[in-house]
Amino acid sequence: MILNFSSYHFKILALALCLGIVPTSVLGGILIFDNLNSNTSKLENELVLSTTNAANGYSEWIFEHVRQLEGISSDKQLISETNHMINSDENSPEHFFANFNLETKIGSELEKNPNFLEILICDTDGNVFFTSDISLPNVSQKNESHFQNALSGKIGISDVFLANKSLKNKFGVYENNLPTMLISSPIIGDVGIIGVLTARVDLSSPSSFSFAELDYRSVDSYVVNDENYFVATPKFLETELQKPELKLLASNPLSGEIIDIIQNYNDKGTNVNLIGYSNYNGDEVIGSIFPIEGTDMLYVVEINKNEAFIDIIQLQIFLYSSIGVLFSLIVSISLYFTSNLVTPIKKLKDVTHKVTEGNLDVVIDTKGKGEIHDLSDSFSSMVSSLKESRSLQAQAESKYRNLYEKSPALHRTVNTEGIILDCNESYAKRFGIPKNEIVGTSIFEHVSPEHTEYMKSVFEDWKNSGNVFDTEIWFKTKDGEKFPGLISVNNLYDTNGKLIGSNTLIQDISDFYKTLEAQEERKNVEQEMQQVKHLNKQKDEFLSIVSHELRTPLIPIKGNCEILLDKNFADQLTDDQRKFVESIVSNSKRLDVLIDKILLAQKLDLNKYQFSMSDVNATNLINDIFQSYNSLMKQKNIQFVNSIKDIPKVFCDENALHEVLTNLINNATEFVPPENGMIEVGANTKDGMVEFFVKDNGIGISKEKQERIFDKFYQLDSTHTRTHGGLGLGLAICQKLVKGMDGNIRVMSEEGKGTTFYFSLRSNV
Amino acid sequence: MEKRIFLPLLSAGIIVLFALMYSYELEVSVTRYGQPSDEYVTIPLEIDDKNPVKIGILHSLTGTMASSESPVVDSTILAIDQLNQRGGILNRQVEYVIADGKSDWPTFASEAQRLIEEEEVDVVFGGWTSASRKTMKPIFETYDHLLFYPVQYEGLEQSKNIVYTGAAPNQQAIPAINWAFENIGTNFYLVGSDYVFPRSVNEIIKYRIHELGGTVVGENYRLLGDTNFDEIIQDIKDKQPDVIINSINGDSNLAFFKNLRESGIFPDDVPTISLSVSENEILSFGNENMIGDYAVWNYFQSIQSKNNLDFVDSFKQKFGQHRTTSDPMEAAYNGVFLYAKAVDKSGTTELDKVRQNLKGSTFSGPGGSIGVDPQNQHLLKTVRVGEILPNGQFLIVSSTEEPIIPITYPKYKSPEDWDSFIDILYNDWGESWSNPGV
Repeated sequence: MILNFSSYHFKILALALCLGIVPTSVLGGILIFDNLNSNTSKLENELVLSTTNAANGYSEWIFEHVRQLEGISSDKQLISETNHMINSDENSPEHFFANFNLETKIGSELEKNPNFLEILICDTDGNVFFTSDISLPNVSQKNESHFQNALSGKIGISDVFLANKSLKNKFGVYENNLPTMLISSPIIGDVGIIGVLTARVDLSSPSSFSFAELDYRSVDSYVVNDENYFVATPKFLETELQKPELKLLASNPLSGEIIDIIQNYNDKGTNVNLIGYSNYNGDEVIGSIFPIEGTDMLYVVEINKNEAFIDIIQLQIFLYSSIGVLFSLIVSISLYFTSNLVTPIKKLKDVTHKVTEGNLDVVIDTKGKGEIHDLSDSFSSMVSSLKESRSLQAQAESKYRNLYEKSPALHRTVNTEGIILDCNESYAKRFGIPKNEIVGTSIFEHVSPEHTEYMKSVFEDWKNSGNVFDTEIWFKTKDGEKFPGLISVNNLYDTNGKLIGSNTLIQDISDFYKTLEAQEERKNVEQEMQQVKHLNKQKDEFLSIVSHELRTPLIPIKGNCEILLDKNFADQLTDDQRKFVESIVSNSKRLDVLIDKILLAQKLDLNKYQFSMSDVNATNLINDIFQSYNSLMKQKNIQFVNSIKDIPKVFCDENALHEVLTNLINNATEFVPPENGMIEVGANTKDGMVEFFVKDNGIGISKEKQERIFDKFYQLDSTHTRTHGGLGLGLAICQKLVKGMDGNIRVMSEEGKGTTFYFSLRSNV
Repeated sequence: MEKRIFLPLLSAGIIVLFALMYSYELEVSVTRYGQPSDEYVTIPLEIDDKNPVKIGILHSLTGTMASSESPVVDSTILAIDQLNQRGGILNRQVEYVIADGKSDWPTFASEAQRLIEEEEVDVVFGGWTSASRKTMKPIFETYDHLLFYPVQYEGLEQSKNIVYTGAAPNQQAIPAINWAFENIGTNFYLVGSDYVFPRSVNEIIKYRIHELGGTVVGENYRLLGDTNFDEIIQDIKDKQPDVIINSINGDSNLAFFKNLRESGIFPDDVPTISLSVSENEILSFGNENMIGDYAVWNYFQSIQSKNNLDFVDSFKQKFGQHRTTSDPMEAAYNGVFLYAKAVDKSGTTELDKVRQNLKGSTFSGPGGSIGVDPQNQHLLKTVRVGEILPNGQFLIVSSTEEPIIPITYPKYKSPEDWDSFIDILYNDWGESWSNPGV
């Protein structure tokens, strides 16, 4: 989050901080100060009380031993035995028993007080004559201060020193250099002081700590002698060393100087240090120091400063953390609230900016309450309406655009200079020019040259009048195609109402022109058709008449000639005459056949031929045909082959089948070579059909001609028309008959090798 | 987005702050302390280890007496160790050399001679049976040397070359009879091993019983190490004494007590007072057949004094927590310190001076204060009666208020008569101090 410090963020934050933290800090400060004061005085009291108690306790501990020693020295038996020892001969039984009794007496006293490490008895000259230890000190006690004190009737207490002999420490282990102190008491007999009783006190056994009672974990206490050496164990040395180290100077390990509190006591007599100083561990402590009564020793009690002031420190931590928490809370809350206030406004600002830029696809967060929410809400509905109208406009625009762009009509937008600013797809397509090449060109480039002048006048008129409506102009496409079009304009004006261009609609009316042409053509064709139909009818009538009229005279000719050839007249004719008559008869017959064919063909053409369909035994039929053609074939020297095997009955008109086969055989005889001609008739059964074929080894038919051989009156060759008789009706008749019987006819031929005609008819089997 | 991160961060921060606040603890570490001073330097004890005081230890480490005598070796060593801890004697290291008497009396003599001649020891601590002492005595006298003998014995002997740290007859046997006469009954049965101590001590005992007006209903001996007590047990059953005075030595005790219990004699009816059964014998024999019986000694491990607790602790620490201390062990231990004290006083190990300074020397030992009687070199001692407890320790049921002054020749005979009594035994056994059993 970027904070703008001139913004409300900062102002509100600053205000909240002033209101929240300053009073807390001030109050906290006062609280700490107050606590510090009371804590300090409480600590001082505790320390002083504890130290004086401890010093007194330590002093008391020493004097306890002094009292015990006094008790022993004033014991009657001890005095009496001492007397015996002093006054008897060393080798006398009296001396021995006195010695033994002292051993027993002192032994029991040592049992009672384990802090007495040894007990010595010496005479008034300082010569030791009894020791509880194994070895007698061989030096006189004469010059020792404690001895001198005792000799003067008082209790003598020596300095603390390290015993230069091995003694049993408080753990029962012999140890050299124990810190010890000698206490001497006079032994007073009837005649005054007869000797001195001296006890060596183990100073390692009283733990200084056992005297200082303070409810602090870190509390430490120790005793130093007048030369600032540790006498009684400090707490944390006890765990380390298990005994006091008189050889250790009570000094700060870092600076090497005597610990502050001792130095200050020695210099200035101050008893308490609450400011803090480094102790023998180098730890920061506060402490108190007091002399141990009756000795040169000092008792020190120390508490770790942190623990001593833990209340204050905790208070400080509490205060600091409270301020920290408060600070965080204030910052976060003010940020939260200012965010709540500023963020929506900022968002609204951004949105406004976007809307100004025309981006209406904005999301307005209208969550929340209050004025900001109302504002957002209003703004939101404003944007919604704007969006709606924009959407309608866009729809309309798009509709228009689609209309313009996708319209089959040709549209273009031009300015008053006649430059095309835009055009639609149809326009570009019609003119065969890409749209981008059209835009920027002059409208006159698209006009047919013959109409350019006219177009210019129309354009000038439009500029003046603003009117163009259904004006026909011929245009020219890129390919050079010219087409007519009707121009209509829809004017465009600027905001001042000045004509700045138009949307031009061009209706391509070339189709209209084409339709006109087509209508005329159809009329002509219809007329021609009428003529053809008429001619055909005339032809049919003619044919009908001709055949009828031709046959009518033939009947008497044929009849009369037959009569002439009858027996009755045969003898009356000469051979030549007979031959003539016979020729007349045969030609009449041929003519009759021709006429039959013409009639048949005509019948078929007019669909007047009645097919009488039945199951026909084609085998028999073909055998009959073979019989009838046998002599003719022999005559023409043609090998006529019948390859018909058993074939099923064929569903057909028997006469028609006969006609087709004979036509095909006749046809073949026309084209086989004069020598080694061969004609084969056969049939195959296939898919419920019987396919007949007539095969010859004649001249063959070319591919082109194969297509037309089934046409009426078609002749393979004009030359053949002469050499081969016939009207060219045979194959046409065949085709019609086969088709009339639901069959198919086709030809396969290769020029020079022969021709095979196939036709298939249904078989009922 | 920022808000969503910020709030958890804030909460975490608050939690950390509070955790810091409440986990605030004081840590005081001990890393450095004080400054060593030049003034109070520790004075090391200068021990002269080139000229050590040499102590010979001569006990049976093998044979029938080994189980009794080995612990005495240990306590002697403990005392020597402690002397060295304290800086030795005259700042001289104390060394020791151990010799094995093999429970064989002539061997004791020859080993004593070897220690003196070859090892050149300054003093010898050793012996248990009177037989062994009797064989050694001439050696020490011949060489004018010094022996510390740690075991209670029959007395009837005195030598300037021997310090007797064990009890004289009036410090064990006679108090035993006194206590039994007062507390148990008047009919005594005496049983012992057949060698000089039981024979002599029973001779003294019989005089004392007679003096008190009691009756000795039976007296019987078995060879040292014998385990066949059937006849004696039968005899005890026949004679029906009030109390048995047992001076059997060594592991024959195991068989004796076992047979006693198997034949239905229990302490409730006929208690046994042993003169040679200490904590060590109980530890090695097992006490199941001895519970409720008594022993008379100058020292028991169960004495409650600081000196004794220190002694027992040090001994267990050195030799094992299961180990026990006993009267002869304490006597040997005391002997070492008496010797040290005398040498210290003499300033030399020269035997004349040491012997002189030993006279009248005193010491507070684990069993209380002792003193060397300048007349007979026996010790002033406290006498105690103990009842054997199931834990193998003694319940001290009686203790003399004053230490008893040692008397080596009981008043019943003149010293010359006592000497001739001993001579007869010696001659009867074919110039041996124990019945050779042939």
